This record gives sequence, C-alpha cells and structure tokens, in this order.
Amino acid sequence: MTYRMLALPLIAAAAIGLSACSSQNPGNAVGDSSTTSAPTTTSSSAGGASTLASVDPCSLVTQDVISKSGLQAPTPANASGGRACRWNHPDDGATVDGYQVQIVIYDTAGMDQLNTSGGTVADYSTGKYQGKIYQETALNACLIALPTGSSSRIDLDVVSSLGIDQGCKLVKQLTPLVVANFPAGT
Amino acid sequence: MLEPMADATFVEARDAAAVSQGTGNQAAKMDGSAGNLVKAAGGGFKLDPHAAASLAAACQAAMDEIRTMSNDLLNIQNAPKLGSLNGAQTVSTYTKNVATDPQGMVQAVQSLNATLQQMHDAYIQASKNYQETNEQVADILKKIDPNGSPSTPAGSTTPANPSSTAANQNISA
Repeated sequence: MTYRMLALPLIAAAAIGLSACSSQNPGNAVGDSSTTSAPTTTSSSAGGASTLASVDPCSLVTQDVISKSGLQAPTPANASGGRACRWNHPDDGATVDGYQVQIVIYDTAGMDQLNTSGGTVADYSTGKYQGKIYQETALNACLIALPTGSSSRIDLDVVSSLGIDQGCKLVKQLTPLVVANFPAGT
Repeated sequence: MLEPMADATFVEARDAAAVSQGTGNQAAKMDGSAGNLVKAAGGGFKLDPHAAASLAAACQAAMDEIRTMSNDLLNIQNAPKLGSLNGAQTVSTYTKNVATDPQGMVQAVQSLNATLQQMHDAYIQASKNYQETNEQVADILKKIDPNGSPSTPAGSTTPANPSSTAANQNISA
C-alpha cells in the first residue's frame, strides 16, 4: 500500500511532465527549477564534449515533478569531478519509506568510468540513450547512467529506505522526465 | 587538470570524514534514545505511544541523514580516475578503499542504518504493546461490576448482571 502511494505521484507527474514537454517545449532544458515553463536553451556541443556542460543539474527536475512526488527543494551537493543535486523525500510519520534522488553530471568522465564493482549492472536505455542501470545493494542505491558524450555522462540515482527494488522503480520513472529536460540537440 | 580533480577528491574525502563524524553523533543520540527506552520500558518492553512516536521520529531523522551519506559514498565510489601518476593512483585507491572496504564507511553506514531500522520498529512495537495492555486492563475493569464481583462467576449459568454482560458482548463484537 505504501509502495503504491509512493509510486502513484511519480507516475502522475510523469504523465503530466511528458505531456507538458511534448506539447509545449520539447527537448528544452529547464532553466529555472521553480517553474515548469520558460525553459532556457543552453549551449550544446556535438562530438565528444559534454552536451550538458552548461546545465545545472538542479534544473533538470521540474517543480511540477517535485511537488507531485512530495520531494523537498533541490540541494546542490559535492561530487568529485561532477556537479550534483539532490532532492529528499522524507519518511512519513508512521513508516520508514523515505528516499533521496540525486543527479550528477560528469563533464569529463564517460561511461567507462562508471564504477560498478560493488553491485550488479545491466543495460538500460531510454529514448536514444543507451546506458546502464547499477544496483548498489549495500547502500540501497539504484543508479542509471546515460552517456552524454564520448567522455561525459549523467548519473541519476535513488537511495530508498524501502529497498533497492523500490529505488530502481523510482529512478526508472524519473529518468525519462529528466531526459525530457535536456537541451535541444542533446 | 589533475590538480583540480585531486582537490575535488580531497574535498569529497573531507566531507565523508565529516559525515563519519556525524555518524558518531548519531550513535551518541541513539545511546541517549536507548537510555530513554530502558527508563520508559521499566520491567517490560512497553512505551507510552507519545514517547514512542518521538523516539521513532528521531530514528527516521537519522535515517534521512544516512540516505545523504549513502549518496556521498556513491559519489566517492564513482570519483573519476585521477590519472596514471603514482600519487594520483594512490589517492584514488585510498579514497575508494576508505569508502568500500570491509572496515570502510559503506559497511558502517549499512550497519548503522540496520540498527536504526530495528530501533524504529522496536519503538513502534513497544507502543502497540502499551496500547494492548491498556485495552486488556480496560476489559478487565469493565468485567467487574460496580459491587466489585465478576459479572460471570465461575460455575454460574446465569449472569450476575445482565446489562454488564450485554455491554461486554458489544465490546468483543
């Protein structure tokens, strides 16, 4: 029951987010995380360079998704060689069902540098992106990594107190919403 | 190229160390909570629901912090390679080992999280025990009529107080 309650807002947000994107601003980056409209297109480059080099990771989840999923405001975080942003979903009063979403943009580290030594990894694709999904059991973390250039990538992960399966479910729901906010041409 | 990345790794390691210190602080809070649990439980494992809710909330807050630590550790594991120089390799390997080896922070965080989860569940269970005991005492009191004699004395086929028995049937239903 709790699981269903958690999943539904994200699914609803997914439907709204995707429809909004396809009908209004397809493929544009969201420049302001406090609003779902007026996205600003950032510079994108072809070839091996990161196509998300100028994108703030905190801008990749819209306010609509944040509010419908019960997430708290984004918080920039440290990540070696990358730029990170986190959204916390606290536990409710009765059960330990919280989770934390993180996005890290690596401008100079590609898929070959994704460390999968501590868990299991499998192929994962969304849209034109052929990435990997990595489950880190010890940390209850499920991470999706997508290439954004030959030597750049974006990682999205969810650490969930309800377990790694719940984390994977959530990050799979979130990833297409984030990709929809990539700059045009990415 | 190498230098800024190395700096970033050191910042990450420093943050992880701060997180580790935070883990120690949380452990101290847990000890305090455990002390409160012992006081409240007395001889049994029962807690006033209000006290149990406060303690369970403290566990949840700590587990919120642990999710942040988990993402910090995930980032350390995924720190880009620093290059092929000996110094860079040493720093990179050391940083990852601090996070992931059997005595590393990943194991410590995993263990702490499991302990907090158990404590949380124990507080909730203790609260339920308290409520069940309360209900049992209330039932016993309701079975005793105002004169102090049981409503259905042993061996008796007729209720001593029909109205009291009817009330009991309503409660049990």
